[in-house]
Amino acid sequence: MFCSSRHSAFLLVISCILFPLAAEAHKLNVFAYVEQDRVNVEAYFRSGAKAQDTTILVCDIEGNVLLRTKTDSEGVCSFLAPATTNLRIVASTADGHRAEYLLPKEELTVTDAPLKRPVSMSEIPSNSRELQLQVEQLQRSVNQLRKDLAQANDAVTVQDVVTGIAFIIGLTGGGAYILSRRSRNRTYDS
Amino acid sequence: MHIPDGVLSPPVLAAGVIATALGTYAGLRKLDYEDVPRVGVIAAALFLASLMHVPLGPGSVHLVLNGIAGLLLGWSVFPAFLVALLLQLLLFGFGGLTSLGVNTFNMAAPGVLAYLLFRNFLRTNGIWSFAFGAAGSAIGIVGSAVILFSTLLLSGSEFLQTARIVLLAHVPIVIIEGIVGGFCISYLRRVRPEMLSLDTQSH
Repeated sequence: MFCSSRHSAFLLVISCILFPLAAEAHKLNVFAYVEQDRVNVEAYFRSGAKAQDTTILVCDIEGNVLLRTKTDSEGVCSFLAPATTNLRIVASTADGHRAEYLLPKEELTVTDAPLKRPVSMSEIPSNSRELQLQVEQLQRSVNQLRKDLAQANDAVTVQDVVTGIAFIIGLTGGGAYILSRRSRNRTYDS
Repeated sequence: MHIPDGVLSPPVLAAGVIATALGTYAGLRKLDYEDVPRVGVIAAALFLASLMHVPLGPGSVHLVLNGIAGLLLGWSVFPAFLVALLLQLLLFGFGGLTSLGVNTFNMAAPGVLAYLLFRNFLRTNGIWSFAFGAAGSAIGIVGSAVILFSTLLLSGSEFLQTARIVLLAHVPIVIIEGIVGGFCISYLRRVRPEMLSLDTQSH
């Protein structure tokens, strides 16, 4: 039995051969960020492909649909925030994939938020246009960082794979133990 | 494909849970002590299968392996898929908790169908074992596509276009899984026929 089960690992060998080809499954992800007064939404698959022509529903927390739109060929759409409230952004593709992202209302009002610390006069560039450009650049960097963080949190890690395999091994051992005791008891009874 | 939460209607989700519970019960009842390692190894392969992407054109497709798993496990493919999909949900975020029943049924039931149709033909030699292995694997994917099509349609007519896309999207994976399944079965027929429940024939 154990010999055959060792050879049954043939399937796993195939898995290992094909594993380098693996990227990630077709899980849909959606990410949203605010740039100036507009909400930008990006929908993409874990494989990295842009989710084109994806329906985007913008809802409030109660589930009322505030806006319905679609992503373009780059998997992106942009719109004015329909309300200054927590927004639930739901992306769904034509073949049944679905993903959600919660955009807190604090992000929508970030431009009105007071500065966290006092700014000395020497730190403010003389040209206010220059200041505006710096703020926009900083905002873009922060948005990119948040997007990278969201992708990193969503990625499949080696630890996930090892945990899953270990769980299955444990379950298999437990199942074999229970069934072996049952068959042993049957033997003793007879 | 893993259907996430919030796509299917409650009656369809409930039917999926009941069907999966019955299939898992049948699979566990038929499970012998000696079959457990085989079920465990194949459950591990199923768990990894969705990470195996085969580049295809602008996108890629991933393996399901439900047809070949059905050919090798019979009814035990239900508990194997249940464990694999539960772990994929918890660790990778694929699918959804409410749709776990539908997803398990969607992948395991065609595997059982392949087993019922082809279990007696796997004893053939040469090219025929490849052909029946390929056919069983292909039926696994076609069956999944049909069940997915049906569950989407039953959940609302707005999914009609969706369901058509789903059917078309499965065409490449039918071919790829057919080839993989054919090679697996013909290899096992030559090297480890007992894996195909052929102990009495081979020794």
